[in-house]
Amino acid sequence: LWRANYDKAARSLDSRVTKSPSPKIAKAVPGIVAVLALASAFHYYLTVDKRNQFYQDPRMTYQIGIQSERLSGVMEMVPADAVVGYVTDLPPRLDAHWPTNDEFIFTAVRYELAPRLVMPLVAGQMQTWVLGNFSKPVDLEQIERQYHLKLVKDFGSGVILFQGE
Amino acid sequence: MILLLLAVAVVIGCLLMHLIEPAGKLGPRWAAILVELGLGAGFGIALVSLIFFLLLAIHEATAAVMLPTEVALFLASSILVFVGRKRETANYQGGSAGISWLSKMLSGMLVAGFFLVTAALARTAHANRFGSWDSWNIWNLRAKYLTGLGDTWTRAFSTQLNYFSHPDYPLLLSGFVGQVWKFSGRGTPTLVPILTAAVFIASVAALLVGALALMRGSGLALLAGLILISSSSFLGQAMSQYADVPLSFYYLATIVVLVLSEYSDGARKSILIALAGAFASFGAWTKNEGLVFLPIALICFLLVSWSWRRATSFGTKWFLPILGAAPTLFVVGYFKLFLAPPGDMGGQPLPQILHKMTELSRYWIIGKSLIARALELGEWWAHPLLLMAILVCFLRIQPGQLQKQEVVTGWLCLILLFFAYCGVYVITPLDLRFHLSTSLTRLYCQMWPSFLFLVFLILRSPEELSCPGGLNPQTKEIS
Repeated sequence: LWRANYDKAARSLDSRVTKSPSPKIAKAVPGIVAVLALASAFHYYLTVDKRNQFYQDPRMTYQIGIQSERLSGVMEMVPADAVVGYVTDLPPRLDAHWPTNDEFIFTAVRYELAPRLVMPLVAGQMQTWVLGNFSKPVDLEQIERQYHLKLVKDFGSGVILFQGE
Repeated sequence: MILLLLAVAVVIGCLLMHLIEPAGKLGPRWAAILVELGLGAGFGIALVSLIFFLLLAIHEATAAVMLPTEVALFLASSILVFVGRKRETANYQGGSAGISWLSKMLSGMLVAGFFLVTAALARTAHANRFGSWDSWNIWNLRAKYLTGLGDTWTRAFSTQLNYFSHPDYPLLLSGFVGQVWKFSGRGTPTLVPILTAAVFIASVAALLVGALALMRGSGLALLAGLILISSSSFLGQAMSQYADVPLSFYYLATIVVLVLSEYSDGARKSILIALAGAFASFGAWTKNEGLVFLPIALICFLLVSWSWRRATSFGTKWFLPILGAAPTLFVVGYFKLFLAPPGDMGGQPLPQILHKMTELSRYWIIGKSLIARALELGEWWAHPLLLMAILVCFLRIQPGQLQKQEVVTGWLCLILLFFAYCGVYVITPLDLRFHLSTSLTRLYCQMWPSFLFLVFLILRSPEELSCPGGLNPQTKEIS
């Protein structure tokens, strides 16, 4: 029944919409459509730099772009299979729908350090390696006491490597 | 080494496709080559990704195993192609003898558009070499984990990754990028995902233009290519290094191969139907949306085959797409059942789902978003939907196209997929506006090449209109 109804509808559609247009229109219309499509592609080319600005949001591109240099020392010292705790002065807001600025930074660090697994360090949790990623000068002794850590190296730019005690 | 590893995967796929000859004796020759290149690139990437994952699962993903495996595949497919070449030479129908001035003009415009878009995408890749948010928070992050030593590859689907990283997503793209990174020995340069993205967008274009040229003539194929490159929203996804363009490729490949099977008979027809199942399963290995597409495609094939009930076709062919999909389904099943954590779309109680289904405001919000995102597909003065509407109005529909089994199957697949996507929005556990704003453009991107293909497949071609009463050789063969 489904097939019969479908065939009937298709035949009916065929008879209504398949009347041939005049040959002149049939030749002109594809040409006009093609010119418009090419013009659109040209417009895309001309405006691509403006479109790219969307991807160059400093919160995203800048953060991901600078981590390679910031974290090169950490990658040399920490084994590739290590689990790395993460301490920051900007704790991420995990309840937000959109990633917050702090999550942009955390995910950029996590991407750069992979295949090391970077996880936010919870107080009381022990990790052999802990990365401190800070936006301003902090009291390192207080952080060492709070998380039972020992400073290994301060790489500058807010990047500090600790080991768990 | 990076280029070599990428090229080996693509060449293996192309050789295998050349062996199958999906175009059969359809011509022109350039279109058959485009279809083989397009299908081959996607097939090779999927094949290498699956092998890499299986080797990871059995703790044998070392250069000493993976590289000889790829070399063996390359040699085996080369030998088979060489033997097959000696056996028979295809006699293509529909050669270049009848190239009209319109086709020449459209070809020139498409080539010009291709260079413009390539230049634009290269600038995007240069300006945004890490891709967008999901690329370094999901796809490339997980690819990096897959390159790790020992069991660190299991971090790619660890529950310790947060919600934004979707550890339940399948691994075709991450697996392929990861294996090139791992065995190239050059670290994890962004060149690899950028080139992979370029291969997929080029494959989509090649497959769309090539397949339509084979089945409906050069004029419509070139117009479809031009409309694809005018789709700024689709182009915007190309260099994001997401899995949506690869998924759009696998949707398109499934439908194209299925429709191509209409033009074949005997063993090649059976192989093409099985190949369509394989491409649908590669979609399931690419993204969770592909897991929706695969059963839809199988059900549509069975339903339409049964309804059309051609002599001997249903009884002997119903299992072929399942057979083609089976190897990848096995891997996807293993990944989903034993390795991946639950996704973020499940876990809602039934009453909550039912309540959402009865909320009219949700349908209103979804409807508004569907229209708004569709309007963003291109510039208003050259909107792809507007250009297609003009073509439909003036070229009209080719009589009989809508009654072909494979065309109906393709349309049914796409329509059901669209409604399935809408259904997910209705019951999504996420905030609806947030979910729509972050995903609907990409869902359109996934379906867009298939939609273009199916619309142009049923249009009357300019060649047919310019010589009244004279159908092109391809159409003649099947009518």
